[in-house]
Amino acid sequence: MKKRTSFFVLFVGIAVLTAGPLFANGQSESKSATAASGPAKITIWDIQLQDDQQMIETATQQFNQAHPNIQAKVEWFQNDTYKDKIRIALGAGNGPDILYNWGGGPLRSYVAANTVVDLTPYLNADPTWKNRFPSSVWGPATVDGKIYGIPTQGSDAELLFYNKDMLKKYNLPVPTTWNELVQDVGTLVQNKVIPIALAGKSGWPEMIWVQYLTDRIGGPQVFNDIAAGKKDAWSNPAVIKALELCQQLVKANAFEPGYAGVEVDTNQDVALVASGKAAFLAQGDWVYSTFKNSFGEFFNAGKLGYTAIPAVDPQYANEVVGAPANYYSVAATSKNVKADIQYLSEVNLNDFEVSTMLNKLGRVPPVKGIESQLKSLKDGAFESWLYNTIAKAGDVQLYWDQYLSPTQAKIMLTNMSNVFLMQETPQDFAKAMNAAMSSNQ
Amino acid sequence: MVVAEVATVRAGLLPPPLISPWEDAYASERPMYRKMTWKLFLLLVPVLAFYAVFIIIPIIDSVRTSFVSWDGLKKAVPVGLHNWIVQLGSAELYQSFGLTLIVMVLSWVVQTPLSLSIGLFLSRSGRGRSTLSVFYFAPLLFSAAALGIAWGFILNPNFGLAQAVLANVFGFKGTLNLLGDPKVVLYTLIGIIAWEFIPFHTLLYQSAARGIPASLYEAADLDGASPAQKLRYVTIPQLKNTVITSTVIILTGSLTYFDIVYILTDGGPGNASRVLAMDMYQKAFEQYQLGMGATIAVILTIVGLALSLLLVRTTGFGRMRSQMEGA
Repeated sequence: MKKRTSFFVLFVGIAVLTAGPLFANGQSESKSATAASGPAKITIWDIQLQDDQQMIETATQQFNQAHPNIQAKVEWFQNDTYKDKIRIALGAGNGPDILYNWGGGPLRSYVAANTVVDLTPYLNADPTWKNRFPSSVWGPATVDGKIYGIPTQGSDAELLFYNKDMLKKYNLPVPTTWNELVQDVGTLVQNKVIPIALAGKSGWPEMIWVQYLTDRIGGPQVFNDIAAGKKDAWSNPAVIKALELCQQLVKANAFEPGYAGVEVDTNQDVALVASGKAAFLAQGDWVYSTFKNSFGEFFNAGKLGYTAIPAVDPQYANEVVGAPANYYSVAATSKNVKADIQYLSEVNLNDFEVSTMLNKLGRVPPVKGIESQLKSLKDGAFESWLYNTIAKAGDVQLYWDQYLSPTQAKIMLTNMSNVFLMQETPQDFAKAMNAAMSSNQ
Repeated sequence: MVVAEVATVRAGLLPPPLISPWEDAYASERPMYRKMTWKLFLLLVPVLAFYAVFIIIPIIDSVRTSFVSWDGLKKAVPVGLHNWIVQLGSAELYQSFGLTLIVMVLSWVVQTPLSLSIGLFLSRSGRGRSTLSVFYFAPLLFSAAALGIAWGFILNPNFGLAQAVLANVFGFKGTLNLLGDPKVVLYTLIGIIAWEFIPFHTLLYQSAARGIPASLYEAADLDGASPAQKLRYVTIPQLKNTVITSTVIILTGSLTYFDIVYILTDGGPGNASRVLAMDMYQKAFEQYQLGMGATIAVILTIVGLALSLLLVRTTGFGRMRSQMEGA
């Protein structure tokens, strides 16, 4: 009998131990929801690293000290899993108050699910706040004429990097037109060096070529039609022509051997240029710092050149593919939208953050009136060039894979790879994409 | 004598004697034959609970999800058989299924003979063999993620170790393009998967071979059997159940194989290595079509279950017949 009792106690103990965390979890959640009696607590989810993180923490602390009735807290996440994290949290209704995001397709899906707040009325009520940002930044955060995101740092653009030494060695001009680029490629192939580095495994570096060429051939209207959901918009001759030009590059051996297995994450494409194996690289402006930090010898010797992607039709030579900014959105479940707005208008890109970014981090914040400060930066030449290139662009087109829905983006990148591998014709690509757009996923 | 008999029964080599559990002399050796009491049931509860939470409920939930359209954000919308009709009619699914079949069959063809021979080699005692086995089993110690990243660096066509060795030691002029060529990539993956898992199957064969009673070989020696005959008539038949176990593990394992494919190729280039598990992942977690992903998951589960049932039935593994009939 005694033995039996002890056994029973043991079992109950195990049951309590295993079930304990389940109940505890439920309790802690209800606690945080009812603790609104003190200062308004707001949570911000963000993915910055190191110096940027510190800058935002400092600005948030200053804000909390100035506003004892609001307690803002930033939680940091890793970039790679962040998109899934937001999606799950918003879907389950237990997200943060303010969330960092990239605008474009994902933001539109949050809007469609009514999980983020329309910020237009708040911006219209505070014109000085709204006017701090250039008008070109609102595009990726605007859905059906309403604004769902406040621009924050992270404006970027794609361009053509090159190894100055190699162009000098083979006496090649920096290409400004497509024909010049093709000629350069021919000469470089003859001399048995790789003309263009391409990290094909990652998919989107191939898209840089396709998107820029489409834009350079047919102008911004081509993708605007696609985005507007016009029937068979992917069959536009500009898209077909752009893909054909890419296939011509492949046939001319313009890309390094095995490019389809080369990935971006380990900077293999940058390494090809920096090690003098490849001459050109179409990439985002963010690899400038990769060249600088990881390939200092090459960078410090002044061998890194940069220019715009060559022109095809001169009237579209100045268009830029890039993201004008990243964004902060407010979750629909937030209980303190007023406090959220106050935080965003006072902390995000305030004077402290703008001067830290310009003077300490060497980054270009998406705000007006900083041209003069840019020139005095350490990498001022590059940053000014980039700022002006974006400023004088007739149109800044968001990256296709960021604009499209995740489903469409994945189908696009896979089919694009097949075009680069010559396993699919440009017409096949257009057909697959038209179908993906019409199934509306 | 009794001790030896009990030992063979414990090793699963003899069928349990057909006597009532109460008079069973081996009862203490085989707790499973004890009468089920509420105490024993209670002891099973934690295991059953884990099994339910991590296996049964997810399977049921996947089946449920396969009948809805869900992007993870909006409310799931029931769509009836839509996902199933789309998936079963999609060329992508069959292409992925074909790739998976190739991986399954070739994995078996590559891994079984190699692990059998290495396992037999290592099962004998002999100078240096245990030292050698440390090297054979090394891949077992690393996570698949680490292996994937390491192989990615080794096979990199521009900066990789393999290319450098081929070019500098063997004077190879071309480019070793094992991951970027859609015609080659699947075989590269099969090779790496084999390299990763052969040690595990070797371990199975090694321990099984060590369990073969020496008396069988002594008897064979008395009959004047050659080493080849001993292999054919003693070792292989004695390892039958191990071969089946290993086969089931290889086939069902390669059906759902994911990690190294994900890390090394992400299903590419293009869709040249998009096996079924990869297709499922991309649908569910890159394209956020969780209903479609769940449909593929259910298809995988059904195929996997059918496959293991079929193997166990046709090979007589389930009946666990004695392997020493007439011995």
